[in-house]
Amino acid sequence: MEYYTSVLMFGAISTIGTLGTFVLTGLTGLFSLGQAAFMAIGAYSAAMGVVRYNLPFAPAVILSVGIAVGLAYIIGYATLNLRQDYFALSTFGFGEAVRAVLTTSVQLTGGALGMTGIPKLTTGPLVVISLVVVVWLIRNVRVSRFGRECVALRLDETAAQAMGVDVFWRKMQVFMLGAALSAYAGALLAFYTSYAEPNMFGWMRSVEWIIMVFLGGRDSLTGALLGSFVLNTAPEVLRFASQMRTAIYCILILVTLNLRPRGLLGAWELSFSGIFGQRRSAVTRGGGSQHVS
Amino acid sequence: MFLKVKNLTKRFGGLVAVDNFSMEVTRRQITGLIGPNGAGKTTVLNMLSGLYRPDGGSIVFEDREISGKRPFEIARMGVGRTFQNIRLFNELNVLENVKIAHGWRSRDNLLLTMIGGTRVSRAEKEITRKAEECLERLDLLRLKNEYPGNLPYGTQRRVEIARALGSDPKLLLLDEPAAGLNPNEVHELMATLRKLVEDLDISIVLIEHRMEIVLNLCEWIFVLDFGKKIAEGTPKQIRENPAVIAAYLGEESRDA
Amino acid sequence: MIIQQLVNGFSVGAVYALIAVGFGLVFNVLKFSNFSHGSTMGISAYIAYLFAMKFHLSIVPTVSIGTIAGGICAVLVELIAFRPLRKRGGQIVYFFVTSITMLMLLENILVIFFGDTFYAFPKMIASTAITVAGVSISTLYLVMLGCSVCALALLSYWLKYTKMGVAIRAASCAINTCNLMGANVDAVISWTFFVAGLMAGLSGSLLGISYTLYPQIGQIVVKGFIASVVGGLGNLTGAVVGAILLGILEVFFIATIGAGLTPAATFAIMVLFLFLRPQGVAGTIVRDKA
Repeated sequence: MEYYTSVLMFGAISTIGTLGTFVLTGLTGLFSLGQAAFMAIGAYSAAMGVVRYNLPFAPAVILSVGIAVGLAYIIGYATLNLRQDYFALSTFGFGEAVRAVLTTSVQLTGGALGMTGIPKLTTGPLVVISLVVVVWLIRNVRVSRFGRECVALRLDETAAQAMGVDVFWRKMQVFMLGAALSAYAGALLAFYTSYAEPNMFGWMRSVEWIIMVFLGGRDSLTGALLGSFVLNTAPEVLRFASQMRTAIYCILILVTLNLRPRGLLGAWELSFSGIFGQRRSAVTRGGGSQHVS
Repeated sequence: MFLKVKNLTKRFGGLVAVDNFSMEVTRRQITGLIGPNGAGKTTVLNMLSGLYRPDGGSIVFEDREISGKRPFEIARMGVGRTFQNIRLFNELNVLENVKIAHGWRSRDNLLLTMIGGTRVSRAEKEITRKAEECLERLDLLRLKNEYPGNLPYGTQRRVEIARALGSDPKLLLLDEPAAGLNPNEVHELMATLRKLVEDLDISIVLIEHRMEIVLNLCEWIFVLDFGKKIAEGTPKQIRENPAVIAAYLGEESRDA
Repeated sequence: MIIQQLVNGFSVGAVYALIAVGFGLVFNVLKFSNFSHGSTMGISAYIAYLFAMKFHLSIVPTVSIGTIAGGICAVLVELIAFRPLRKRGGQIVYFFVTSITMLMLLENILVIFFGDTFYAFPKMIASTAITVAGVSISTLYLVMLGCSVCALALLSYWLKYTKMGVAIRAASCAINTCNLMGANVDAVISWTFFVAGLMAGLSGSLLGISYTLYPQIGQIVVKGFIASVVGGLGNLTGAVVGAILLGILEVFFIATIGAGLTPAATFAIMVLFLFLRPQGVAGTIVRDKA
């Protein structure tokens, strides 16, 4: 039982990070190969704040999120004006740089062996509440003009500009939001496992998040949520098939990309109005149909 | 002066795409920009809307210099545009397409939006209302839930105009709005554009390839050839201008 | 000492150049960053290893087998993963996501068959060094350098003077026009992948022989990614220059500040470079026509 609880906790924490990728890559179409590095920054800076500088838990977490957002601001400012490929490359380089610094600053971080002795302050209710709140916040973004503008600039940046959308600033906001979510997830993770090591946050982890978002549906929050939760928890549950599981997932994803390019759920959303038959939400409907050219 | 363009120049490598082009546009006027293929018409439009940065000259819109400003800033100052090769957002429906152009007017920010609340939903409602108004103007309201990709070409062009109206522009730039339309649709389009000028008090600058449309619709016409202005005037003057006739005849022999 | 580092950096850079060129070839034609290129490197290195162990091969046949295996593997990957997508007219992002999924999948297949352990090729090159004018170059680096330079020269000849090479260059400009002109697009793309795969196979087996073999070896593809972006995407010469710069930079950093901080220093230089010269080494920039 305890084992499954911890699997669910891991899944929920990773999902928070993946939701950052949903907004960044799914909606806005920016490929960041350094999202996991923001998770590392969240984990390490919060942990160091508590362990080394005796900060209380909450301020340490807030501070770590702040650091991640600040770094995202700097990197975004330098690269979001450039071509997409440069952004992907820079975020990749950033991720590896973060990992290198964490590995070499042995005295501060414990180096490659990892940082131990982090107090176990992340509780089940905290994770659940965090996830619900984050989903709520992202859902609000998705249905607002911000979400719409993200999709528009993904589809045609020039046209979006000409319609008065400040494309650069919108990308900056989205990048900082993604960094904040990753960092928060990282902080929760560190205080849950009492441990952090640089190799938990390699670029392939960022890649996994992107894949999860595409599996569920890049335009669908419900899909991204489902995709990330299933893919984040199931590998642990299916431990008996440990060797095959990644292969199985990859094949599943390849098939999905071919048969339903917009992801399992397309742009479909589970909406409150759909369940309770009350207020109509502004969620895009009908987008699930395949009209991709 | 409403729009005053002076000595506008744009070079691409060694090619001078637009060479010392000057023009003036007054309020409530439909202005035509014509010329053979590759004359630099779209380049002028792209500079007016900020997509290209001019290499020289100035663009003054309502007494403010706009050359060098970024496209979204110019859009917010009241310049809307359409594109030659229709650039609608294909994964957004017609209503959402038009709503994009309204977004920047609402007074909210990302953090407020994330928390949600009545203020945000009121802003969203206002955006929807204004977008529907634009669609109504172009008689597109019944198509608001359609996706642009599923609509006929002529209708897509109308959707683009509706979207350009989204930000309440004072100046509308249309890049070949009649391209690919059948004669019937062209007729409707001309009526619509005239009505827009009357109802909304706007000016229109349009690029058009076909002489008869421009001569019919525009009050003042600029003719470009190889990046240079070769003539300007009323439709009557243009029709009789030997330089213009030569440029167009030259074009026909080049095509042949 | 500095010349020593330069030569070493050049050799490492030459192998990166192989990766970057293979990566760039596919990018030129299909316009997406093909990370599955890395898995081709990994698989061909393992195949070369199997043959080398079984038949006690020397270096030349081993590398040749690896190279050919890479070509075949890349063609298969295109056939299985990218062709169906292309027939459906999928957007470029889906190609990209498919390629990173393929990277994960093939890496995982290597883990299934070989386990998550390190393998070492039998010793093929004497660990001696040749001294020329006071600079000693290890034989290993010399072999890497030699193979890479030969392969790159052959490739550039092939692209310039053979019918298929010219077709690939034409496809790089406009794949759809190519279709209209009656060229067999499927064949052109298969050939592109085959040649890119040869490069991947060669670089993969060289890296495997020089260092060790492990399932994640394919992730070195990011060096090619870095080099081709820094070089100016779409330009193969730029990619080669970018790769050699990267190799020299890395060797230099490892010698001065240590392997640990090298990625951080490389990142700093890279961002600075992109900021100062956003058009890349080659200086061509793709413009969006409004």
